[in-house]
Amino acid sequence: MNRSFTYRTSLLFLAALAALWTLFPFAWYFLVSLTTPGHIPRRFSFPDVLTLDSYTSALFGSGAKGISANYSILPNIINSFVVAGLTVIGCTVLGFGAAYVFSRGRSTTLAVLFNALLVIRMTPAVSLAVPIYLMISAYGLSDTHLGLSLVHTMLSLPLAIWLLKGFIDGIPTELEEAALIDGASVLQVLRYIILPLAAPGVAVAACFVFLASYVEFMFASILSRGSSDTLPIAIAGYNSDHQTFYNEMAAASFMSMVPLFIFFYFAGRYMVRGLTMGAVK
Amino acid sequence: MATVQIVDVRKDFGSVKVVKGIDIDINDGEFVALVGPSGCGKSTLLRMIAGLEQITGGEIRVGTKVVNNVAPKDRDIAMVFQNYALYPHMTVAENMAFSLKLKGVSKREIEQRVNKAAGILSLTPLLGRLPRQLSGGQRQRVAMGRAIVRDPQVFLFDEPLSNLDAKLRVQMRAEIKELYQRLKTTTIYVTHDQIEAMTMADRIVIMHDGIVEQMGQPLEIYDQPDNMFVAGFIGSPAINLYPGAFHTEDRAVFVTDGGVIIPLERPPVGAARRRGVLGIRPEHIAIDPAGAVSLAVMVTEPTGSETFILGRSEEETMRCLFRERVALKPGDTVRLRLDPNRILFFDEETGRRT
Repeated sequence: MNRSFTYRTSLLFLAALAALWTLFPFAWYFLVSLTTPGHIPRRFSFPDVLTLDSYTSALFGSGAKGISANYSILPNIINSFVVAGLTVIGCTVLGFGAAYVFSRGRSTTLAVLFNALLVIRMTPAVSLAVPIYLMISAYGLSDTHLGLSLVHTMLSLPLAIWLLKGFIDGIPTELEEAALIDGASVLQVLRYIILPLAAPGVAVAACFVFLASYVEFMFASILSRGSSDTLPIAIAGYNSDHQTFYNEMAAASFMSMVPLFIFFYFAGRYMVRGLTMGAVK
Repeated sequence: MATVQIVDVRKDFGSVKVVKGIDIDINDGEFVALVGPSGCGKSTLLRMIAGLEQITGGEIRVGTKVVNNVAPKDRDIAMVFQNYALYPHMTVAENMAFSLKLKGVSKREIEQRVNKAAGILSLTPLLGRLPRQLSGGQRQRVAMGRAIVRDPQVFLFDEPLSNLDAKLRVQMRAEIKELYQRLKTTTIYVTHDQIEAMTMADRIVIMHDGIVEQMGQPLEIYDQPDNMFVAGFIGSPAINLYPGAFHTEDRAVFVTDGGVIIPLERPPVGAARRRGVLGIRPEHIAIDPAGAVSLAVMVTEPTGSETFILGRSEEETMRCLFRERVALKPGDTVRLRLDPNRILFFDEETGRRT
């Protein structure tokens, strides 16, 4: 297409405007993270001095700047990865098995169950807060990695099943039949045929589940009492009753985003492909 | 190798009866083709033999063992699928080795057997490739390789050539036949293509609507079809079938409903004034200036080796096939003789040959 210069320029301008609109808060926040700790951002301005003090303070704690800010987010990073990792294992293992059954099963009960899963996914999580809190406490799992990851698994499992089912739907049943005739048991069919062929789907599902767990705030805040605090809880912790540590909070926020950037850089392309593949095939 | 006995086998999907009681005895080392139009139940029957489909009623025996409730993996049967069903994430060699690997065969023996099968099927240079890097014919050969490497009791083929182009199909047909002659393993071959069935099989089973219409050697079925369905299904171009009535007043003739009068040498016993259906294959019609039937040529299709002519006689259309070259063009009229020894008669009600 050979559009006029004006047309293209105005499109570019609109795109730039949209980008600016979205990115401005991030940019400002980023500048806040580079400002000397203790500085309170009242309105947008460039700091006189750019410093990484807030980052080191967030990572290793700094003692001097006040009681609440005197902690390191390192344990929280570990907590987040442990909880997200457990959630990924739970969702992919359970999700793969369930998705296979939903994909191959031919009964109305299964169809109803599958739709029920998706509907549950749409209910507001907050409506589950009280029962889940009571259940997790009853089993003595509050403030543990396992407790939180069980809840995250419950929340993400429908999505994982839905994604994986799309992938498994695309695998011809003849391959399974060929394997059955070749002497495979049903478990061997899953292990040698379905799993390798659905591997991209498993990877995509694992990424989504990881992200969902990594950024989840509500249940993490309800179920944690300190020793299993994940990153979002730690970041929110910079806002205390007496003081808000804006600079450390911003620095911790940006550091928590690093894994997301790495992930999107490497996997974004496959993720989109995986999503659409699962959808149309 | 083994015999396969199918005894009164039935299959219902809900209230739909797909296979309605089939009996077939397949001898050790025999090549049997199951042929019939789509939806006749032939693939379902094959899948029941393979164990991929539960049997509603009856019994299937492989060798002396009833396999009704035996899992596919324990039936010692190999199957070649229509779409090949090669494992896309495995190389040719891995595809062929898969069943042996599951059985726990030693690595050395797997390699030996895969190499041997690959040699037979000229797949040796392709062993390291993935299925997507192969042409249709090569994939088909890998699918066969996967079957023969196991040295099973029975081979099952489910329309293995229908995804190939016409030329390749003819070539693969010969290859499968050659392979069979070499291995002499009991083979059950499902196809909707009667030419495949005719050219490859020792025996053909013609199925229609979930039942066996006729079973027999290819030429026997061709020459002596039990009923109108078989007569119409086997043979290309298709047999001419004309409903009409016998007249034996002064001379024996058959008058079709469309008004064509066909002289008969030996009318069926008690045929006088009775109705019936006359069948004559296109190649049993000859050009004869003294012939009784006159044909107005509508379409000519010369293929070099033979000439097909579609024409009109009175109110009937007629298909004729001539081995010689004939210089006819649309609009011409020609006189024809229907070989009286080759004329078939069928009961109009039951469709059975009389």
